[in-house]
Amino acid sequence: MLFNSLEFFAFFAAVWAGYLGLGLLGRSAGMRGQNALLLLASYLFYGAWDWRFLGLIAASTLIDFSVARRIGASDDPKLRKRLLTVSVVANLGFLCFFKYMGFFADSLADLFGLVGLELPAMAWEIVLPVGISFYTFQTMSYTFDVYRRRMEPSSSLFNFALYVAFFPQLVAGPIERALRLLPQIERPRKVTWEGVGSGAWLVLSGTFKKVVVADNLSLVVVEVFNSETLPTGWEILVGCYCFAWKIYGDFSGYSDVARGIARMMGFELMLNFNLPHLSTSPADFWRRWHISLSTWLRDYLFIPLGGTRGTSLQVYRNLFVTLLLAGLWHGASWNKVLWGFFIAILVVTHRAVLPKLEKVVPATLVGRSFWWTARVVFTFHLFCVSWVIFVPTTFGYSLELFAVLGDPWEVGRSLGWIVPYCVLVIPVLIMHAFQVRSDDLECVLRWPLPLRALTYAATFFAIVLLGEDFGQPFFYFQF
Amino acid sequence: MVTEHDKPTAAASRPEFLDAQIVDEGRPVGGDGPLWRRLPWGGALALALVLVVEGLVLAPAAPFGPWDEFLVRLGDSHPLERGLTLDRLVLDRAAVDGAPGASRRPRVTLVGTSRTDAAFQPELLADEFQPPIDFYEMAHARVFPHELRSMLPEVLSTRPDLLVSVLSELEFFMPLKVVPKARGPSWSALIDFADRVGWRFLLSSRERRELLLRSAAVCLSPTYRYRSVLDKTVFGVWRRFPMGQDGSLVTRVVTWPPLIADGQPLALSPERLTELRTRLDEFYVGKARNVAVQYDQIRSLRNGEHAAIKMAMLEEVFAQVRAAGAEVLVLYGLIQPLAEPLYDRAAGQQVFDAWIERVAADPGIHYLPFEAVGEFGPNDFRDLTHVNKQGALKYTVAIMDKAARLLTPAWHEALEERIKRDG
Repeated sequence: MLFNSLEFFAFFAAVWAGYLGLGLLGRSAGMRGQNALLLLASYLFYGAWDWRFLGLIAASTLIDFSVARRIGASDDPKLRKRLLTVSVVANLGFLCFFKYMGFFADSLADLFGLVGLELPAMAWEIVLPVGISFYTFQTMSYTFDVYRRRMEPSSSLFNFALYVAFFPQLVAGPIERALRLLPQIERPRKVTWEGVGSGAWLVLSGTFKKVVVADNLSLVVVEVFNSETLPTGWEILVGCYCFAWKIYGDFSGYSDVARGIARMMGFELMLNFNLPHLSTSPADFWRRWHISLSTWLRDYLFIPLGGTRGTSLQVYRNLFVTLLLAGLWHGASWNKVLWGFFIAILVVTHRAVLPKLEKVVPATLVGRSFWWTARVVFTFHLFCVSWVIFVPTTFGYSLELFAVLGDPWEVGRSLGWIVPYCVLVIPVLIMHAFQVRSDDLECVLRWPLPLRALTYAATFFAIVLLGEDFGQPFFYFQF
Repeated sequence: MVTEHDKPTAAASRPEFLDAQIVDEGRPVGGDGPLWRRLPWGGALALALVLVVEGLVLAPAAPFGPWDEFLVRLGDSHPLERGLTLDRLVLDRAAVDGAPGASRRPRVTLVGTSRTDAAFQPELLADEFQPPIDFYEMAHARVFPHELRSMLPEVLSTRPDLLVSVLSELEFFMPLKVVPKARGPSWSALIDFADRVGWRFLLSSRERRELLLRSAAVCLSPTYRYRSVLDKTVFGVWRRFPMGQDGSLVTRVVTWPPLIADGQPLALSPERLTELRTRLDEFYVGKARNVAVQYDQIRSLRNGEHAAIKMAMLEEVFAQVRAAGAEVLVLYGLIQPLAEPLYDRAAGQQVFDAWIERVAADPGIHYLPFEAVGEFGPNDFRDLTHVNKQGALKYTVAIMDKAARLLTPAWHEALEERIKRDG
């Protein structure tokens, strides 16, 4: 069940009505009833995609609940470490099997093929359970935090199961930490008018980003990256622009809808995107893009590897490993791994030249504005180059696209794409400008009443009139 | 209104790589101040704005400005969108004709599929033979009997004295489809349709659930209903990216499966099917594609439960039209005689005749069999199911004659006298 479907609209309306009704039962009883409803709804939501994988999420829940309880009850460091290993192996095992088995098998066969050996052909028809990349990371973060004694293990399997399966963020994030979400589950929530209003705006604006911006731009993206004929140089450039905003609209739109839905029920999920296309460097991009994943990787991979401690080479090694795995997380293909490698090069290079960059401080406001704009545009284009690696399904096609970029560029159809691209992206940039100016991502909520109402109504009509047919899946839906 | 929870910021100043601050742990959101200040006034005002705009979409727009413009921009190639736009113009005209102070003439509203649209062409008849009646044509492609149920509020808003439709078993026995850009925001029609088809059936597959929910979206938002018109006329300039190699626009067609097509197929297997098909193609040289489509349509006919559903929904339309004080006229819609061997017409017509005989027991519902309309031959049809100008003249005369008899009997008598006198 996709967020941008009328089916989900009907589902959430029913769940929300029940949730509000149960809230009238009183603080404690109401909370228990609401949690029960949310757990049932979450499993229904997940099962609507494929009921067979309910067992998988239940198994992951049971394993990590049990392991964390035993870790919490033990003071033996070796036992605690063994138990943590069980959790990691189990979760990564699920992830590797469902997401990467085919990729590993094919890569192994290709490797053996290089030396002239032929492995028996194995046809892997493994269905990727929706959201597995998200909820396995979420449950692992819980056991890590219990192991590190940052929190006590949950005493309620029920509440923990809801933490794992909470439907607003189950299938495409944000990857919530137990430290943030479990306390909200375990205490009564207050649904307020402000929460409902601001949550509804998040849902509306997130849906706009998805069905108006992302789904319309995807028409161009398909023409450039999925076409049987090679695009021209300018077409690739415009295609990259479109993909940059398409993936932003898709993913941040989904995150906003998830946050909005959760807020309408009194939950606060973490911010996942912070105007990433206004990043001034590759490092800045990773502080703004998919924040829940980047912070997860920082806390549970980068820092345990050593983080920024040690020699420069060690730091670079840590960065490379982290970003390679970040690439692999995005998909079971060499394109994604190479994309992670490319991003790592960008980040490491930026880190190396940072001391020199920090010396550039223009004296005037115009100069500072120009310098900021130049960095934003440059960073945006660096990531556009990375999309040429990321988007195609094969690296061979990426290489062909790079070859086209190396030849003289032809205009092709790109001129016809510029106008719709601008019409779709400019409103987003205008909104970004307001957000930066007011230093408030939800600045619309504080606008004067008439302007606010006009914005809400205009967004609604944009969705109704310009939204692509409901039902286009989110880019990250099956991750 | 400032909320209690931390204001997410867009600040760019951050420490090292991957060192983003995790947002504070969630805490209950609440606000200070009196309740009336905390209510979502912005949302309420936005909702009011939305309702006003949606109401304007449905309201008559004298003097026909925007919908006329849309019709011109649509051209000839978008039957569904043209139908929606022409309906708006008809409703606008009906509103103007019915304005206070305007002289009130009898009104006839025509509904049905493109066969009704093709059959009624008043411009073929000289003015002196046209009765003083206002005719409003709301018949368009794909407006099958069950869809009339959705259009009913709009049809009744023209305040007809007589409702006319050209029908046969063809309209009932074709597979039942609910086009998502359905006509008319009518909750009662949607519920009626779902009741008759069966809720379990409609909820049993993703496609059917989507159809049901899309139809509900049309009921909720008239603007959504007209998005295809607006897309092709207002937004089409920039929204449809030119994607073809030759720069041509690509229209993405969303095809939805037929909901029901059960029962016995009516298509027979004539011994010389190939020869018959060749003969049809030769007869319609230059329109082979249309013939092929209609050939398949005729051979898709089935006498199943879907036909009974369509008949029942059309009866509901007739009942409500009668309750509004209007009468109904049904004319039998012939198909190209050369194509009749393609299906068991006798069996089909038998079912239709039984139905119309029962329905026409109401003295306010009139039926004209094809024999009463005129004699038709192969040269009266432009394709397998639609009459050409020659055939349309016969239907138009029959419709106007009957309408005049019922609504302007004095004028009709005077015309008959004049015709007798002039020979």
